[in-house]
Amino acid sequence: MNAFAFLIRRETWEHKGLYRGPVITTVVLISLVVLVLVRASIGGLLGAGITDNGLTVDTLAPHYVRAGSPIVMSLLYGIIFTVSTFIAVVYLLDSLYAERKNRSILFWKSLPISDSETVLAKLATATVLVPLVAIASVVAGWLILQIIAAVTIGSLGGNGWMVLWQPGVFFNGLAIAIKATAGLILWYLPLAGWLLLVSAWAQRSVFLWAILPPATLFFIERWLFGSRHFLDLVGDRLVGFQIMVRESASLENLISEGMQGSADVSVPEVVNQMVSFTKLLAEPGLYGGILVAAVFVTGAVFLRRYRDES
Amino acid sequence: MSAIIEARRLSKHYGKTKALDDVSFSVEEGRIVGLIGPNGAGKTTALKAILGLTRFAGELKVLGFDPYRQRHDLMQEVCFIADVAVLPRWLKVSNAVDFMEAIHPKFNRARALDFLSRTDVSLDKKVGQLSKGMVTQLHLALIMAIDAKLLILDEPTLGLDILYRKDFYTTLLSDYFDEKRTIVVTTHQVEEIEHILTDLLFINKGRIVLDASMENVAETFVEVAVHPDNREKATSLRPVYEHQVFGQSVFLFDGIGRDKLTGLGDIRTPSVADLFVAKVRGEAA
Repeated sequence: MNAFAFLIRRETWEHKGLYRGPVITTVVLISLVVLVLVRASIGGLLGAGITDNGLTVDTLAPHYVRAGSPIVMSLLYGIIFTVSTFIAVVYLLDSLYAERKNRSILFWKSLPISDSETVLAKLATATVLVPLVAIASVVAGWLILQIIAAVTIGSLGGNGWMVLWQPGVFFNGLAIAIKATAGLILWYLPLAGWLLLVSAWAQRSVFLWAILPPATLFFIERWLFGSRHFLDLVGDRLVGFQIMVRESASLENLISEGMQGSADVSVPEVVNQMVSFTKLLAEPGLYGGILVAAVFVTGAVFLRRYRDES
Repeated sequence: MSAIIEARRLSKHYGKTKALDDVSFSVEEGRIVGLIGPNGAGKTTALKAILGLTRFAGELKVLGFDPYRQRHDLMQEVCFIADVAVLPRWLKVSNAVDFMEAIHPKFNRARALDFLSRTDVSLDKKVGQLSKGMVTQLHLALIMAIDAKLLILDEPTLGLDILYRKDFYTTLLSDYFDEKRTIVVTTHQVEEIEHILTDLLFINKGRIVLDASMENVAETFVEVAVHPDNREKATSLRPVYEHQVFGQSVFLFDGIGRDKLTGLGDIRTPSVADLFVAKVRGEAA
């Protein structure tokens, strides 16, 4: 294992939540599903649920493949990624602050590791390691839930084997997750850079330092010019993830057809077509953001390198 | 012998305070130098300058490198222990060894494990679970397993009880030090390290007040507990410092031959602590 990979490994020793967070989230979600299923089957509610929704034992499996399974995957993705984003934010704010607070920075600085390697390892931990753990959790969680669904449907007399393995949902879902995650990371890179800079800068209250400077800028701009360009800029960045979604009436029609039960349409496949990395790469804001991120990260490296810690 | 550290006219200000005031000194290979001074004298600033951790005015070469600009190259050859508390509490001992092995090209894993096996530090403990003395043993084991040319120790035994302090320096001397290595150490407990030092650097108020080898000190400085009858004669030889011990005057002479002092009273070589007090107080007077 090379030195840079070991620097990332060191981060997992210090911040166990980096991998425990998504794993625990997944375990909790699966446990909830199992709990609900057990409760429902004890009350005989499962069978009643089928007939109430106009399904039969024979249509149960195909219905789950078409609608249930993709929804499970997108819900898993949504929840695990919300948790992971939160973990990454907390981690980044702490990453260069904790070592100054507990003075271990003097130990790390006694070793031949450059400040840029250290800061980049911390950035990579948040932008590569955390997302990889998250995607792995989504995949593992989904596969386990597939098994649970197969067993449940089988026990009701449906075709459990049909549910168990669905390459269409799996591969399209995985492709969407990877594209969306990679895109989101590139898009949010300036925010990650900002958090690192704050972490290298603040003597205390890192959370306050993360929010106060931009908030002050909003108010100064508003007061001086009555405008809100900076607020819009930050706001667009925060909610700008639709930037990857290709707008296409025909694809949207296909999705609603699929949702209504058309057997010819695979919703995951259509969604996969809609999430477009090319569209993101054509967005000038992406490159502006990466540039800003580079400035922030360089600032964090310089602070760690040249600030006198005493 | 070649100079490991070469400092010429070093200065460093913190606001109006002069932490280092036009300081020049050099440290040769194979020496153990005690950098000794009262609190706030500039010891730590000097060490930080040597380690490239702070900016300074003047000229400084450490192993031929400019420590501030070429810090990364320098750190391949230098190690330091800054303070007992700097190993992070979450670090597991075995992980610390793995980490060092992965990132330090001159780290010898077997050596580190050998050092650790002679202590009570167990590999599956975290730093937070170790006593202060054990943390220092761990830190020392990690550092001694690095084949470095220069070792800097800044108050390495601060806050440790006497057994650990003794062991620390014994281990350092018997298992680490040789003529190819150089050690610079600062400490408050001068008495404990004076037998291992080869050179003394006294620093006070940002200035070097003594720069001498231990052999030199023994030749140059003489302490005489003078009989009251000889007081006048002793004063005429211009002692650099006088203090009272049990009502008797003890004079410190600098550069006066022992032959001239015999007959004045009991003659002995001053301890580093006495010399230090004399030098620092003498400066102030």
